[in-house]
Amino acid sequence: MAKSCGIRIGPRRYELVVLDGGARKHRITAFSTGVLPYGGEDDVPETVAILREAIKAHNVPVENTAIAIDTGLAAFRTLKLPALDESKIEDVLKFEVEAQLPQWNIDDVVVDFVTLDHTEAETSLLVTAVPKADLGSLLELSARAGFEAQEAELEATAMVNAALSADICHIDDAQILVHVGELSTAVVVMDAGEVRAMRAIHIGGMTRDPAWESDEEGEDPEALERSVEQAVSRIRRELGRTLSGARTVNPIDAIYACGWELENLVETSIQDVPVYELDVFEEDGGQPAQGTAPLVVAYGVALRLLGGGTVRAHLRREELRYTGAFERLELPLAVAALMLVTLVGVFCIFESKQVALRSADVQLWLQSAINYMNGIPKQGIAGNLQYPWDDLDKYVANAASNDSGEVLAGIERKIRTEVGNLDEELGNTGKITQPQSALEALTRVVGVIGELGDEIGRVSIRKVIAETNTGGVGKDESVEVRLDMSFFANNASDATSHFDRFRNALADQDWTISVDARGTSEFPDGNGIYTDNLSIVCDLSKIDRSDEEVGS
Amino acid sequence: MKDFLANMNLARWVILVSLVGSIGLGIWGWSLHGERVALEQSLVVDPNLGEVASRARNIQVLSLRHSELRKEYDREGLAGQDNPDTYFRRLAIHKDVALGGIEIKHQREHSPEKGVVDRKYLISPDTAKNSGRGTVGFDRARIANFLWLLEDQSRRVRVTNIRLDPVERKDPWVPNSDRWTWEVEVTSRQKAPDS
Repeated sequence: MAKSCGIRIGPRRYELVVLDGGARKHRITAFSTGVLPYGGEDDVPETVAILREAIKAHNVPVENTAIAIDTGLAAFRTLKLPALDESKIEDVLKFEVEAQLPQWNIDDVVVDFVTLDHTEAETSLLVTAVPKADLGSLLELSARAGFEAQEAELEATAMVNAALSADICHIDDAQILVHVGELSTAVVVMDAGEVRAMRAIHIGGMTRDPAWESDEEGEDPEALERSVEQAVSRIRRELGRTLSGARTVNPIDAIYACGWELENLVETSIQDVPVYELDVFEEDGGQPAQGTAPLVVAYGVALRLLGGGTVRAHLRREELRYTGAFERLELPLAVAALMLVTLVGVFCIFESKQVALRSADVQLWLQSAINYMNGIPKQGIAGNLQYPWDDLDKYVANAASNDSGEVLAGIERKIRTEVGNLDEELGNTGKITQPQSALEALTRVVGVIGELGDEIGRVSIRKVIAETNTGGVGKDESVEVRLDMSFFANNASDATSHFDRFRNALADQDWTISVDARGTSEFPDGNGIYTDNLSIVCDLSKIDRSDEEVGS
Repeated sequence: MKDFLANMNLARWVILVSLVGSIGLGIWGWSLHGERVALEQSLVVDPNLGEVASRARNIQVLSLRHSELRKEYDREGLAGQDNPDTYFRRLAIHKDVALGGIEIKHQREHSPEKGVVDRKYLISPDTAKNSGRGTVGFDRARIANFLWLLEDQSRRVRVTNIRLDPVERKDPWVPNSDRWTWEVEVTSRQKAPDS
């Protein structure tokens, strides 16, 4: 939800309205009216203090604030131009209206316009001119009070926007909108929901200001009352003239008045046209129960900031145009942005050069790796890869067109894959375990004889059978060694002892599953024994090979 | 959009274009910076730290390993379905073996488990070529050398059956002459071709 604030700064009073919401749905969250000093030698500091206090007290969104100024400061002219779009009108407006503003130097005023009618042939404009000095002093005042007004407009246009948003003006009727200020009265003729004419009556309702009255000590109250009556009378007379002179398509059915609440104006009639109070506020919209008429203009200003209203008055022009924080900073920001883009560009150039240098380094590594890998056949220098294959050769040949780092990784990957394939082919991967070796089992059995040495005397092996049983379902792999052996000794007893020692030594081995002797026979001369088919079943998987040398 | 363009002035265009350009260049520069840092890290000469040096070294190590394996592969002659007879016969005439001609019989294949096949070869002295040695037999050390070389020269071969009989059948209490007749079975366990 957006917040906006409209402030009417008049010659004697100010009104402030804070809106919260959008153009269609919004609510008054704060409002304030107050008296401004007048007639002193330097009223500005006191005026600034009063406005600053009001801003602070009502939590005004200073970043979204606009002001309405006294309509009496402006001059209104009607101008007809050939059909042009708005930007062209802006270009020629001052030049075209200069002749109609003889009282001012055209360079000393800001000129705004409202399109009254637009046909294919011509555009009819209502031109408003405001002296830059008056507008500038009010803008300076607001800046010193702590807020930068985004826009400035006349009370008249703010009143129109408020009335249009309240659906008072319709396509089939006409009205006169009146804002009674302190020193002037703004009059707007509306027809079919559009502005037809706008004028300022240079008399207001300041005599009703109690503060003003209190300042005029000693003045005759009856004289004041007569003064007010005269003011009302003059305003009514001017409104009557406006009614008479108004050229509207639809008959004027009402006069709506806001601002100062003058007696003998509202709830009366002028030339049989009733005068009503201009009530633009929604029911329970946050407005006060009574005395809403002075807030209409401030409400219209705030409403426009929320996107409401159709009259886009624009008095902040030329040197008085709104320059928010961003506008003031945009030139330094542009310079900073240019420096930033230059800096980042230089950074990119530096980094790209560095990347190119490092890439060249990687290319050198790649070339060196290829040279060592392939060797230089023309010079008879063999490479480390003695059996290159076609796929690798093609990959290396195309290396120049690819990223060097990726080519290095690709070469490594291809060789590693090929080495893996060869390892698998050669049975180095351990995925397929070769059967137990009958040769190893036989060697280990015979090795026991060697270890025992003299302990088993002289031994003769007469027949050898070693057979690997490759196992099967529920049966472990093993090797059976069968030996025909003779044990020579001084007597059969010693030979038997040697045989038992050998058999026991075999049984003690980790890899021995069983030792089965069918029995022994004594030599005829009694100097030994012999046995046939001594069966030793071995399981070589039980051998702890962790101590064995790799490759042994 | 029309309002946006209407509100633009030179300074705002400069800010807008510069910021958009800065963002684009910034993204590009950041990616270049990342690429440069990665390249510098990969180019550290220490092979333990630098990816490029590590890969270059790995290529040489793997190349040497490949050459070695390929030699072994060629030497065995056991690759795939190739006939391994050459491998056996070459070892049989090795200078430390000198067993002369050998007879090789290809046994029926056996599958100890799914996806694996045992190819068995029965090797014995060639009766015709060794007719003159049938009575004198073979030296035990030469037979042992042959068996050792069979397993040493290839990781894919195991001697799975050995039968040694003395040439002279003497009584058990009479020392024999250490001359033998022999017959061995060699098994090469391999991945089944269809697995």
